[in-house]
Amino acid sequence: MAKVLIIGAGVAGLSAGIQLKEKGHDVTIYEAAPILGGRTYSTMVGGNAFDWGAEAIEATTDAAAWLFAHVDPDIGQQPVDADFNAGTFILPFDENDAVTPLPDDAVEPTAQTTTVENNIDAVSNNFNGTQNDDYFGNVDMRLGQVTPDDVTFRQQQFANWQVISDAVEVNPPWGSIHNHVRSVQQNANAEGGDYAIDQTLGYRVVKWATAAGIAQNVVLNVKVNRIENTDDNKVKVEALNKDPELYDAVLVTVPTDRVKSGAEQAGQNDLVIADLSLQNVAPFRANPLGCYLKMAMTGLANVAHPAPGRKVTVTFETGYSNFIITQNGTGTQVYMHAFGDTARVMSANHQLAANVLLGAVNRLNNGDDDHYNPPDAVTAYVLDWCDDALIGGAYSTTHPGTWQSRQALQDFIHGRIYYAGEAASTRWYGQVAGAMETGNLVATRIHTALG
Amino acid sequence: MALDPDLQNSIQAALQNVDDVSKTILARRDLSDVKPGNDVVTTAMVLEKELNAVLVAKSMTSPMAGSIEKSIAAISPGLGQLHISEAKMSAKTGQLNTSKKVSTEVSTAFSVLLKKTLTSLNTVDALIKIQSPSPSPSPSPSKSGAGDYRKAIMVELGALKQAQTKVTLKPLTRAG
Repeated sequence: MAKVLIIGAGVAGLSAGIQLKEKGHDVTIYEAAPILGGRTYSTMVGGNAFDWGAEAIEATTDAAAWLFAHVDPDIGQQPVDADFNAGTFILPFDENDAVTPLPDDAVEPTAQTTTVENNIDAVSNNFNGTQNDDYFGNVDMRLGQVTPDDVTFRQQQFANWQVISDAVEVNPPWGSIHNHVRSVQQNANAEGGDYAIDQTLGYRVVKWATAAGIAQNVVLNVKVNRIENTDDNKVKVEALNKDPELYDAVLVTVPTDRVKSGAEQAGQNDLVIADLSLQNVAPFRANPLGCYLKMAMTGLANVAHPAPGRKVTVTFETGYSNFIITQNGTGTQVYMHAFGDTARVMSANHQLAANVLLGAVNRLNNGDDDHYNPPDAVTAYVLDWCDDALIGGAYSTTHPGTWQSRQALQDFIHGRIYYAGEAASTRWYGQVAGAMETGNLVATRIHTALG
Repeated sequence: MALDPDLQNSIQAALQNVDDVSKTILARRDLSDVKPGNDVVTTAMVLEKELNAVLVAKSMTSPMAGSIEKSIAAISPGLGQLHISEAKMSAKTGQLNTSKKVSTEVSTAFSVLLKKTLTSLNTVDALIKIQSPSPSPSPSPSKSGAGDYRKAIMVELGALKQAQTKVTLKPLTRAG
């Protein structure tokens, strides 16, 4: 039996913890936040349950089966249909579950140098009607088209919109697009439905961890600042307000941006692996966090479009920088889910995000036969993961030309220090499924190494 | 072709007037007190007058004529829509101040008008700069360059469209 510390009680850490505990190891999980779940998180907003973080199981993986089967099999939610037809989208893995190579005609996105200000202007102008003024007309035609065969990505329309980052959301470029569509199909009301709290993913993660018996191994509000391998095959762990401790192995599951080598400058919420070189920390730097922002607007009444479960999606040239708008069943709340570069732009200006959402509602509700009077006042609740002190971003992105660095993260072993998380998954990066996949993988490796 | 200094002065003055009128219109974010046959038409007429002053210049410089005329033509639908909206308002006297729908129509008309005005002003402004003699004894360049028009009007336009709904932002954190 080995004494193992897992840093981070997100899906990766919890998954690994369950596996290691079942194999008889002494498992402790330190979580810096006051709650379980990491980048899954649910609350009620104005009487509606809402997933502020990850909200969908995007692929046919253990994650769907585990979360739904472990938690409450009677609720009626099912794992993704194994016969799911991906339509025109190319799956990045073959029938043997192996990752397939990049298609011959696929080209990795190139780095861009456009500034945040440029893109704020682009978003502002688009939604103030000076550019692409027919955009919402097109959206009207697309509303309700949530099956993969119907959805048309419109990168070309925004061909003159440059991405603001030098990292891309999808790398290789066919990566997660189909998974996003799949999530739309499988979770038509994942955001904005009149859900009970126990139907949200954030809640299910907490309940899954509790039912699986790993929640009791989690110590909340413990921030680990520094770890390093010792000469006697242990890992020394230094946490805020705790005495240093020694473990047989440490599994790091914090977001990539929070992992620093001893040679780098570290912030107060970073985890320093003191004896890690700049060369070996490179895979973490190659996969920085993107942005992810959600907004729920209350105070509206009788919003007619978009209807429940319908989505509005904008796709930038990266192919994976979107926002989605939907509403609850009574039309009193609308929701925006922005990710990728769209979220980067909106993270810099929440008022702009509110204006985009309000503008979309007004336009979609002001057709010839359907006039909508906007209310005098609304409240816009925002959770911006870029502003989260402990995480500081969303899921990982990958610098162009470095997508193999995800494999390096998956293979990461530094003495007795391991890594798991969505960033380390080569197929379900950025997703709950990837976090669970890599958590399980590394748990097996730790058990094999330590017996 | 060098631009006649007198013509350039007149165009600059006209552009400045148009700029002032645009700002006057844009300052009217709350349209609920617009009265039919009064403010809207007055401001529209002033705007038309000033734009016509620009149009007069076309006879002086043939290369500019086509472009300016085209720009003015682009403004016309917006003016037309404004007048139609005003007429609708007149027909609904009595309901006017309580009808958000009419108010929205006027607001939309203003938006269309201002967008087209913006395009026109940018075109004219650019043409003046392109055709200005150099060196020239003429007055200094326009106080309102193309970028200034665009930026100022877009800011005001954005405020106009959102003016009816006050948004209160409430950031959330996981720590609760």
